[in-house]
Order: sequence, then structure tokens, then C-alpha cells
Amino acid sequence: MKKLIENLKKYPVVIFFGVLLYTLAIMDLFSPVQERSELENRSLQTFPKFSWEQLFNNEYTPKIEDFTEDHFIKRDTWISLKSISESLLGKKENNGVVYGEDGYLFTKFVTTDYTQMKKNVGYINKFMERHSDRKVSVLLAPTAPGVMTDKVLNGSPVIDTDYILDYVTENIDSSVLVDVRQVLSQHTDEYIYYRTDHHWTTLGAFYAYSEYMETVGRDAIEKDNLEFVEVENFLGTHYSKSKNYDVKADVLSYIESDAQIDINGEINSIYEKEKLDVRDKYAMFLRGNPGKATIKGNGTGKIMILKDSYANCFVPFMIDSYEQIDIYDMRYITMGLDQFIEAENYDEILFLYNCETFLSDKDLMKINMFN
Amino acid sequence: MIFSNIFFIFRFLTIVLFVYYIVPYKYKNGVITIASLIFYSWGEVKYFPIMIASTIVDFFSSQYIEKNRGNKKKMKRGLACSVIFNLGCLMFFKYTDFFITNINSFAGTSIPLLNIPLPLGISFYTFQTMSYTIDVYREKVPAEKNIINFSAFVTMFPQLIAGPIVLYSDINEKLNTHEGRITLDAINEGIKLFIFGLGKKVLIANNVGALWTDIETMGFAAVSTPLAWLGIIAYSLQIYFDFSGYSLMAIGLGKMLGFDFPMNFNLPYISKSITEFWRRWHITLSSWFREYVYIPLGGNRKGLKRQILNMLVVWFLTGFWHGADWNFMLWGLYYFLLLTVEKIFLLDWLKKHPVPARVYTLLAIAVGWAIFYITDLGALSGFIVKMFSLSGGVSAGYYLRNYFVSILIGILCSTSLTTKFWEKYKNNNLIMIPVLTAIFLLSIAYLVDSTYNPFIYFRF
Repeated sequence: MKKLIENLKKYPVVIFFGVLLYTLAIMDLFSPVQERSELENRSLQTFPKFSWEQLFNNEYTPKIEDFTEDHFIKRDTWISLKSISESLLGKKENNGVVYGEDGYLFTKFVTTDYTQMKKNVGYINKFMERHSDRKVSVLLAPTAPGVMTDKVLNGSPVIDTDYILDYVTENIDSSVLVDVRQVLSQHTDEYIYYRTDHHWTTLGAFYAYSEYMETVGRDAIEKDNLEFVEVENFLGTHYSKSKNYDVKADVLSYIESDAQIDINGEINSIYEKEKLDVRDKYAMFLRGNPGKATIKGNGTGKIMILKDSYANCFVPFMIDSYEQIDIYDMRYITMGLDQFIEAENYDEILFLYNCETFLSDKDLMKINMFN
Repeated sequence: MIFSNIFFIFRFLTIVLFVYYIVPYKYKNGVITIASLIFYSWGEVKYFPIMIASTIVDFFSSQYIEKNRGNKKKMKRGLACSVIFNLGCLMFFKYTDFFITNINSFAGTSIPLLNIPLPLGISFYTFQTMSYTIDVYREKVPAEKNIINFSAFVTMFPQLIAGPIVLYSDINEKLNTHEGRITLDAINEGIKLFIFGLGKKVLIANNVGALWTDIETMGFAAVSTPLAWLGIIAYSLQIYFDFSGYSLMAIGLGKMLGFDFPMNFNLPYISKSITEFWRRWHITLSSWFREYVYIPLGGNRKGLKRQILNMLVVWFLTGFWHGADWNFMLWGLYYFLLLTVEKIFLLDWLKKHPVPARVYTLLAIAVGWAIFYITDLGALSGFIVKMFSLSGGVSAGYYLRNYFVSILIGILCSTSLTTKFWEKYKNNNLIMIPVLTAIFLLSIAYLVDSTYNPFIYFRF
């Protein structure tokens, strides 16, 4: 033993890396297990319960590996280290997120498959044939790269929202399409899209709302009459993937409202303000993504909104104008829509999706099902 | 399990090394065997029995040969047993579906596919165990008497799934050495090699490889000519750094366990001919084919015509060994053609013109990798046309900005700068420790946030 220690002194590399490896391994073994990663805004792999079935299906051991990786000591520090290294290498992307100017982050689209989008247009046309007696509108919001074009680095692989919107324009009854491209493009010098999140800001939603109200012949609220409450340090979904060390946090804003939302008989404020203290702040709007919910407003007429999360900060503007706003998230709908439409006798029906959801959404087919 | 993985480094390796170092010498080969079987079963539990069967068949075939030394007929029986078993396994698991698919498409039949996943590393260990029995038959090595020692050779986890192809004669002395197998000197070198290998795989191969994956996603026909070239350069670097990084990690781990595995890569991209390239690329595989196929067929001793025929056989097999698909055969035949042309006249000219020689070699290798990677022959010809005719498509600008530095680092590290650095500073701890620490910590960072860490030998 003594001889070994004497010998080891001649090999500092062995000592150094031996100590480094075993220190990290042992510290990691005893570091506390966290359930969630705030940085990545996701649940971490839990320690898998052993089962022979999983083992033989090769599902057990990968979970052990994921567990070790997810809970590796100082995980967030390693992630930042990688991000710094990537930045030094001149990489302008990470994990499916493309970096733009001024801290803007976009979804990476190496290629775009338009088949589902074209099917979705067909579903909407079929839906409209059945409901031609009602005021149906389709508002497809371009995502940030389609509007904030000067923030997109030249040649970046991002979505071509113009292709989608042009296709929709050509293939859908023009009276129903609410094209918000122009109104949004007029305000690109304003804060209409989050940098770190895939949503538009409340202000961006406001401009689209104004456009919609004009299309259906209603009066929109004046922007000057609105008061935006701001919440700092919002890090959105894109950042949860890219985890770039030099992120520029967003400011989330909302307009105060005492309106209530009825989700399965439970009535609460339309804003879940507890969410403002956690990572996923955007989930405060309409309390996340309920399957079906009703908001009683102070105006006239009933509207049905078939939507994705872009609608969540859009809907609050409508409360003063409508008597009732019903929102439907097609992911959770397992009954025919027509019976709701008959029962509630909606005056307006609005499809509100962003282009990226609309491109790949597989639940829109349900608008013609179960009837 | 793969080496470039947090679990492997911080759980598996730490425990295995600890146990391996503290147990008495007589148990060390047992520790290797058990650890290797866990390592192997980790990815595919069901194939555990193949590993055991492979060990048993070759152990007893060789014993049988050794016992019947002098009786040619019985010796041949022992040899046949091993060769049929090993090649049978390889044929069954790796090539059955390929043949069924082609029979179905030519004969219009609809024989169902087996759809069985390829046992990890089967192409490597069947070659290894088979060559052992052949060597026993040829009296090059004595048959191993201890089944635990033998199973340690067959299963030894560092080289099990992606080479280098270690022959029994490479390590049999160490396997039977008790005192003095492990030295601090070897551990010292092993650590360095492992970390350099890890860096090659995680920091260079993964970094440039993502570009090629993007090109595959957009479709090989969708790219512009500059992007096609950028892509094939990236893939050439990826496969070299991935494969040689893996081999280097294996050699490093081998040293930590007290074994000397043969070198597998020796700066292949500095070659000045394809002939030279194949002396520097996957050296243990080329040597294997030379030793167990080419020379037994007569090598170059039976005239030029026969030599070329022998080369054809070797390169057809080499291609097909890399994967059960037409493009791999094409790839093998492509190299056969280049090597034959070089043998007949080109080599002399290349020797006199080093600059065109390098350009020609690199070009030929790049085209070779396109053939190697793109399984669909239509897509392959589309891509090659893209490479050699100026045409439009997805432009290279974005990708060049993103990958320029990584590719540059990859190119620099493909030259003799790396070996010069190694020779000069390998014993200079003041330089070695900071460099290794940086590589090690960065690699861990990339493994913790691993968005792209493929295992590219799943077809081998």
C-alpha cells in the first residue's frame, strides 16, 4: 500500500482524474433527487420501478440512463457550460430552437410537411358546409418568424407562414378568413411576440383581436383605454429547450379583469395568477388549456372559439363585447360539436390557431366527427 | 450501453474499475466477464444467451482441436463447428431479412421478415472468436484452458460492440498474467486516451454530425451543391471522429484494465492514396480480412489476375460486413475498383504528385461516404449528381455559419497536429492535465444536455 502511494505520486494524471471521477460520482449519488427542472420546464425522469417485462422490452435500462442524466449533479451548470461552448463555436441553434437577432428564439423547421395542414383546411371547409348559416371565421396567427422577419437571421430554417396562409387563403371561402398578417406587420417595432416563447404577446393578440372585431362588424376596445399589467422575467417554451446562457427574459403582460371562467362547473378568475410565480407564466391565461370552458361577458351574442393556446391571451379582450364566450380545445373534445352549436345557438364561430399548430394539428378532424 | 454516456462513466465504469482493482488477481478475469455481460445485456437482454453460446462453442471447438492435434479430420471438424456457428449467427441475425426482402422483390413472394434487432457488436465478436479458433487450428496460439479467461477475452466490454477487433493472440499473455498485469503507467496512459477518445466522439463527431442529420431530414436531393459538399465533409468528419473516438476510448479502457489493444486508426485523412487510406482506416478490420481471407486465398502469390480476384472477394465481403444492404456492397466494390486501378498503374503516379494525390484521395473518400451512408440508391445518385453539377437547393449559408468552426476544428484534428501534440506533451503534466480536464468537463456538459448523441454502428 505504502509502495502504491509512493508510486502514485509519479502519476498526477491518475490521481487527479481518479479523484475527479470518484468525487463527482459519489457526490452525484448523494445529491437530492428533484422532480422537476425549472430551467427546462419539464418533469425529470423518476427512478424506474423494476419489472421483468420492461427489462425484456428494453424499456428499463434506458430509463435508468435517463434518470442518471436528468439528475446528474449540477445539471443546470453543465447545461450552461454547453451553451457557452456552443456559442463560442458560433452555433446559432440548440435542441430544435433557432436563434435570431436581439434574443429572439424560433422553432427550427428543417423541412415542412404540409400534408396535415392541407387536410385541416379540408376539415374546416367540410365544417363550414354544415354551418353556412352561421358566421364562421378562421384566424390563423402567423408565428414570430413570419412577422418579425428582420429578427430572423438570413437563411434560418424556420416556418414559412406565408406559404401556409396563402394556401389557406386560396382554399378557403374568403369571407371567413381573418388575415392578421398586415395588421401585425404594421407593428413590428412594438413588442408583439415574445422572444423566448412561441406565443404572441398580449399586445400582439390585441392587434389581431381588433382585426377580428372589424371583420365581424363589432367595435373593438381602443388601445389607449387598456392598461397592461407587466410581469418581469418570463422565460418561455423556446428557452426551455434552447437553454442558452445569454437569454433575454421576456416581460409578460395582461389586462386586469374580474371576469370568471367556468371549467366543468368550477368557477374561478380567468387568470390563474399563481402561475405568475412559476416558470410557465403564460399558463395563467384562461388557467392553462381547459378542454371546454365558458366565460360570461358583458356584451351581446354568443361565440364559440375552437382554439389553441394563442387564444388564451386573445379572449380576455372579447369579454366586454360578448354575452357568452365558449372555448373548445379539440384535443379534449370527444363529442360532436354540432349538438353544442345547436344547443347554444352560437352567433359566431371562430377557429383561432397559430400556423405552427395548424400545420401539424391532428385533432381538427374531430370537428366533423361524433355527430 | 455505450461509452459516451453519463451512466457508463459515472456508474458503470466507476464501480467496475473499483471492484476490478481491489479483487485478487485470480478473480479479475471473472470480474471482466460479469461486468461485460451486464454491459452487453444492458441494451438487449434477450441476446445474453448468444454471448454465452458464442463463448462456449469457440472454447470447446478449440479444446477439441487442441486435443486432436495431428488428426487433420477431427481438427477440421472442430474448426468447422466454430466457423459455421459464427458465420451462421452473423448470417441469421444480420443478413436474413436482407435476403428475404430481395427474394420477395425479385420473385414476387411475400415471405415474412424476421424483424429481429441486430445483436449489438455481432459483426465484431463473431470475427474475433472465429479468428481465435482458426489461430488454434493453425497452431499460432495454444487453446485457452480456462473458460473464465476465455470468456473475458470474448466478452471484454471495452472492445465488444465497436472494435477494435482484438485477436486472442493480442491479449492472451496478459489474460494469463497474474502479477503485474495492471501498471500505473498503463492506467496513466489509458486515462489520457479515454478522455481524448471521449472528446473526439462527443465534442467533434456529435457536433458536426448534426449537420448531416439535418441534410438527411431535408432530403439529399433538396440541397444545393455547396451544402452537399458541406454535408459530406461533415459526415466524413463525423464517421472518423465517432469511430476512431470509440476505438480510442476502447484502447484507453483496455489499458486501464491492463490490456494492450491494437491501434485502429492512424490519421486516415492524411493519406495520399486509397491504398494508404485503407492502411490507416479501421486497421484491425483490414488486417483481419488480410489474415483470414486474402492470404488464405493466395494473396498476391498466384499472379496478378488471381490477386485481383482475391481483392474482389475481400472488398465485396468488407462492404457487406458493414451492413446488409446493396449500397454497402457497392461501397466495397467501389473501393475494389479504386484499389485495383491504383495497383495497376495509378499508385506510381500518385507517389510523384503528392498534392493531386491528396485531393484525389479525399474526393474519393468523400464520395465513398456518400455511398456508404445513403442506403436508397435513387437518393444516392441524386446526391452524387448534386455534388458534381452546380445546382440550386437549400443554400449552405446558415449551415456554414453554424458549423464552420466545428468543421475547422475537425479538419485540424484530422491532421498530424494531434499526434505531434501527443508525442511532445504526453508526459508534460502541466499541459496534459488542463487540456484533459477541459475536454473531460466539456464532454460531460455535452452528455448531460445531450440533444444529439447517436450510436452509428447499429448496422455493423
